[in-house]
Amino acid sequence: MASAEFKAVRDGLPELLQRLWRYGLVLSNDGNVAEDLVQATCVRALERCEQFQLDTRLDRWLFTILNSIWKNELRAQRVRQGQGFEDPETVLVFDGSQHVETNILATQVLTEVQALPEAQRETVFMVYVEGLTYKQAAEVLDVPVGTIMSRLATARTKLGELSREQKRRM
Amino acid sequence: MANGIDKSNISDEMLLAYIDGVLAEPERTQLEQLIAASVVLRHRIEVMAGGSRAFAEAYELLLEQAPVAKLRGGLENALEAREAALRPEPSGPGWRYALAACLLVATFAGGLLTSHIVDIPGWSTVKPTQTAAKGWRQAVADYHALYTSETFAGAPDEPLKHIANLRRVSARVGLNVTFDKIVFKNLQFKGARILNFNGKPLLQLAYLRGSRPVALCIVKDAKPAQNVQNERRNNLNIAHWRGNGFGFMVIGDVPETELGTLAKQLRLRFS
Repeated sequence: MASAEFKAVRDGLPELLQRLWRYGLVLSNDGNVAEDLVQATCVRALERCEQFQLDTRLDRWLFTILNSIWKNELRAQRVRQGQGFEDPETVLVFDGSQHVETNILATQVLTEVQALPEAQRETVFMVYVEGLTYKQAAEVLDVPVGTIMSRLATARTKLGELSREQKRRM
Repeated sequence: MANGIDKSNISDEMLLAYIDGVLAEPERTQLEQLIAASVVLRHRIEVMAGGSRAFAEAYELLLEQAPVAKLRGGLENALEAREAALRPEPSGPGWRYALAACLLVATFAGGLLTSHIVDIPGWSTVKPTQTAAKGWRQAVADYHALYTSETFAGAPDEPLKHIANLRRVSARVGLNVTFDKIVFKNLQFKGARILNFNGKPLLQLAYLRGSRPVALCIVKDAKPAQNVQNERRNNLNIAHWRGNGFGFMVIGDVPETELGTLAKQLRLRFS
């Protein structure tokens, strides 16, 4: 008989797949790798479903798992195989036909953020896109709160300097 | 104030918290007073605030790009694997390694496989207890991951040599595969052979797409017909479908769109 934890994980996964894929894309800059990460996360989450505490957030639990698979398994293996990382500009392609203006701006934001070092961009993503607090992001990303804040400060300063440069050029 | 902010050392992190609206009192009020009195601080705030972007909106668009069908397929696979892993394992934990040994012994017409064992990248390796659930497509992917352009180097390309062999081996899976069904303009046919999956015959047709090995694999499969689906295993693209009592898959390190086109053509030819 299936446990309550298993059912919660199994039933909650389908609607979280897109957000997991998006997170995988933020980390790896590669849509195919993101798919592999989601699949691996599903396998691991089902294997470890008994560790999930009911009435806590499933999405954050899954983000933690995906993050761990990337950091501890897949990322190191890709570097060893010399696959390196994609240039962000070549990976993020949009069908701009419907909302041209929005897409130009969005593409620029995505390009700037995806060009940040991985530690900064995953933190920007967790706090400013997924809306986690500094403390929640620290738990998911498995670093101290001070590190989260330091990364965000650095990222914002960097992006702020980019804005100033662009304004100067106009 | 004695226990107030040290105004000679205001960290970026404090400014960040202030800009993000999460700096608590009394620091917040103290900081605002300091900001009002300091051009340097105001400049720092301005730069950092200039680092704001419409992050959430921009990343919202990415959600729409997610390959939902494939992701759901991946979840299905994970659920099946878990289910089967929890059932009693019929062939024993050594099954996967026995299969790998059988596959390595198979030879090409006119060529031999390399005889040393190549390590499949660690993170996609499945534990032995889960192998019965892997299914034939994963077994093919594990095998295909060992291929290089040299693997096929010894096999002859002349079609005539393959035709007689093709008829004989395809009969083993119960299909009548004639050469016209499997010939393609930009694929060099390198031979057909029978492999053993879980005691059942698996027909493999090997090709070279330039220097990249591509395989078409066919097994008897009584499950209902299914349209071409895409998936990825072991960093390889796969297109698979079912029809007329058989399961088919094409696999290789070639773009997904190209594999999909090939799959659709084959499906038509075999229908």
